[in-house]
Amino acid sequence: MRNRWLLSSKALLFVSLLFILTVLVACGASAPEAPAQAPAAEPQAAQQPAAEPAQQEPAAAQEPAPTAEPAPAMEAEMAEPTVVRYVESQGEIQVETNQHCGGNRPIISQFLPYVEFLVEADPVTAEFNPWLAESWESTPDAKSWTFKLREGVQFHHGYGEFTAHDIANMAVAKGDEDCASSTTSFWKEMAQAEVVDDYTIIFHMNNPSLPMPSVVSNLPTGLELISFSKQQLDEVGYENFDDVKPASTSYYQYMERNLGEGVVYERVPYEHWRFQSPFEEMEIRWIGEETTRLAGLLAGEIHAIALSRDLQPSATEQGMKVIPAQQAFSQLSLFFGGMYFMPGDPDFDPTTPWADVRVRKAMNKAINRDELNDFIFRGEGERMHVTACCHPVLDSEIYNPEWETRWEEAYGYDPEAAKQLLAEAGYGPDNPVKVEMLNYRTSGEPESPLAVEALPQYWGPIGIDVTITDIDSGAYSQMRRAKQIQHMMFANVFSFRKIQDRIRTNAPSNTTSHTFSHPFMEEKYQETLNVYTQEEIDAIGREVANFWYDIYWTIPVFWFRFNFTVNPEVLDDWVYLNRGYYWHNQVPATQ
Amino acid sequence: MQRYIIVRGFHAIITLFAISLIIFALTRASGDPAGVLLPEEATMEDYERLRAYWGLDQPLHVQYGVYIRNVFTGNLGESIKWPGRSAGELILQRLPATAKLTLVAFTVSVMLALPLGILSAVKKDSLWDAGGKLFALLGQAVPNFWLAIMMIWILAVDWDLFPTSGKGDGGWDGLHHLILPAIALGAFGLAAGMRLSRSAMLDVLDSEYVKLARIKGVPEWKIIWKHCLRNAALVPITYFGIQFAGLITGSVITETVFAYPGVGLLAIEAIRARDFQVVQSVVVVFAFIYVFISLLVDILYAYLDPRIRLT
Repeated sequence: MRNRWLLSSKALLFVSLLFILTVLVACGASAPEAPAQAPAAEPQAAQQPAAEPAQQEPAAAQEPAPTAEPAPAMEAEMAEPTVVRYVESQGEIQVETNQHCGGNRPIISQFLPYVEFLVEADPVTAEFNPWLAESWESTPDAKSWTFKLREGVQFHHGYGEFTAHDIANMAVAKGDEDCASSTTSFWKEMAQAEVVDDYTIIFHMNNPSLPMPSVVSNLPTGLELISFSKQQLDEVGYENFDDVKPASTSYYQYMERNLGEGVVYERVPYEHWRFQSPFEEMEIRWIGEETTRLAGLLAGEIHAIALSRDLQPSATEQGMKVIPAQQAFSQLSLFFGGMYFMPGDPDFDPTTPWADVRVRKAMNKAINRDELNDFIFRGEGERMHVTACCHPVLDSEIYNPEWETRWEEAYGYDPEAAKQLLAEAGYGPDNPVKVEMLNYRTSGEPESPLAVEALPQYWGPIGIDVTITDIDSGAYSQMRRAKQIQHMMFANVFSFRKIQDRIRTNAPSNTTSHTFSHPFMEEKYQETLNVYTQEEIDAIGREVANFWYDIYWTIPVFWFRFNFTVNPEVLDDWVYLNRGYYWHNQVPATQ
Repeated sequence: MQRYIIVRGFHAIITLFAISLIIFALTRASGDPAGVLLPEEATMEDYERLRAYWGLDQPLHVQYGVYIRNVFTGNLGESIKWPGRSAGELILQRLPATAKLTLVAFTVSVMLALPLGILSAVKKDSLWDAGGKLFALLGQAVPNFWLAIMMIWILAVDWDLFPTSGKGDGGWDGLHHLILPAIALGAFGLAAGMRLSRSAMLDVLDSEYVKLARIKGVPEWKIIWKHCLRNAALVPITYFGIQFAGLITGSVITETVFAYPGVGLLAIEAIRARDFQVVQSVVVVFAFIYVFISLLVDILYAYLDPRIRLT
């Protein structure tokens, strides 16, 4: 009888329920608490890292003395944050490393919490402010640049004071061609890094180098002259830098790296001269799947995430907050391939339809940008007149107000006018323009594929045949370098750069991306090599910008702001520059 | 028997060789990592220098020869995404997490599939049976990435019972992080195992010796647990043997959704970064595991059934 009961439905139901109840109780007991509910009094014990990182400690490790001169402007009244460890999540990173050479700029996000630069770009105007350098000046020929460094800045982990020797060491390393970093070509032109004293360094360049302040800044053009300790680099060797805690100077110091998961940083154990971090620890977690990141945010495990605009409503409906960058630093554009207009260039194919400016204008005028704005940016895109430059605020010296008054005629949505222009250029139903759009995806930039996918509906009705080819981003980059983008177009996202950098990187003799090789660009680039003041550069910049506007060198779509989706119970506000180039002036939510 | 094992072992080596060749060709066909790694401003000289550094400037047969030579000397190559670390080191570092996940998923599958399948067969056409069949159908039909996302949203976000991602700090925290990925990974095997157990049990319950036992008055529980189970379990147990290898390789999707840092996620990260050495090594290791387990199952079969080794 008892055995029969064991096989009965009631018994099995009872056992199943008991099992489920046990699991629920057991798991529920240790479920992580939402950040807002974390107790204020004892947060340290609850969220301290489980184990001491097994990384090499420096031989000279000792507690650094507090810096003597904290910058009063940056001192904030510290309030008690709601969490001890602030966790931020983004997509996978290209290369996981402490080594700063040989990588692409997207790898910089893992360095930014703990490193600093000589010059800081204002998050709204991009004007340069002192950072590790208190002041700087150049000789009239812009070939020698003197930087006066801040005194008393301490390296992490007891590596002593930051001096001119450290920054000279880094500049020389960046010029090494094995480094192959984004600024190697710039630093290769350095004749000497002269250390005058511990707090004065002079970079002697072979050519006039007006981009110097942006190259040593946290603008996308720079981001590479990192404040790493020469002593540590000499001790452990560059190739072993992944086995140590790198010593730099920011208000977080490197704590540990969990391969494949992320990096953890901790607040420096002394009063930082610039900013006192509100959080004791900070963690960057790499989660490739956007839905998982969003789930982590909503579950309270993560406090700020990079999230595409189409998923943001799912977060804001649950009480999360979107904090945009201070300024629209990114621009989305569509580029014409095969624009190799230098005389005698064998790669130029004159049968390319958009070699004719009327075709370029027609393709511009066929696009309804307002509709695209709603589709891609939920209406948050800002008018862009010229690709690669000329933001009304960031590039106020270059921006031409006439572009706006001429906009409707030149670029405004008018399919009939577009059709007419194509007919004038010899294209119509019997001889359609054929476009192959290269569609590639870059982590954290969903805008480009969206723009590409929207194009057929604008170009189809005016008689343009569009085919979309999915391609890997690496293959696309290689095609551009090898000048193999014939009869093809592509979308790309640029980050703001100063006009002199744009002229330099678009000069046919200097470019590696070959976006638009034209004799006018070469002529203007050569002019920039012989001018010594910013005013002269700006004058050339205005000529270039007007030229770009008038010849429809691209299809400008929008300026847009990168944004982070945050838990407002942890982060109240955040002043940052742009995706991957931000710094952490964060205002925590308080108890 | 000895000859049989040698022949099967030789087949396994040929299979591994073929897989290494295929994965080598596929990774090269997708382009090269220099295009991804270099900044846009990098020159063609930078590009060529980086290609030479990674040996990508060599003819393909030379690259393959170097790769095979390195494999035989235990060197799986240096990673591109994780500088200064070898592919072998990375796999060894991540393998315990995947092994743990697979083991839990496998154990849960086996522990639940057999009793539930048997229950379903014993209670044929009852509510239990209907529920069991529905579960088996859904478990096999629902893609595990969808199941994983649904579990994250319902059990982790809405009900706050489990963490959404990661692997935790070990101990109970680690186990807590393991439950959802293990369920997502094991669901298919559980459903399939349950269906197989049910049908195998139904066959046995319908056999003459069971009818005889019932006529002789043997208690029902004894018939099921003692006489039927032993025979009915053969088919699902064979299935679970193969399924174990499938779980390890199937961890790629589950680990990606849960950001669980095992070998599966390592493979995905390496593919996205075009880290050839790591991709090749992970695939070869996965293939080795699969081939080794298949070989083991074949040998066991041959040991259990003389007819197989004689053919």
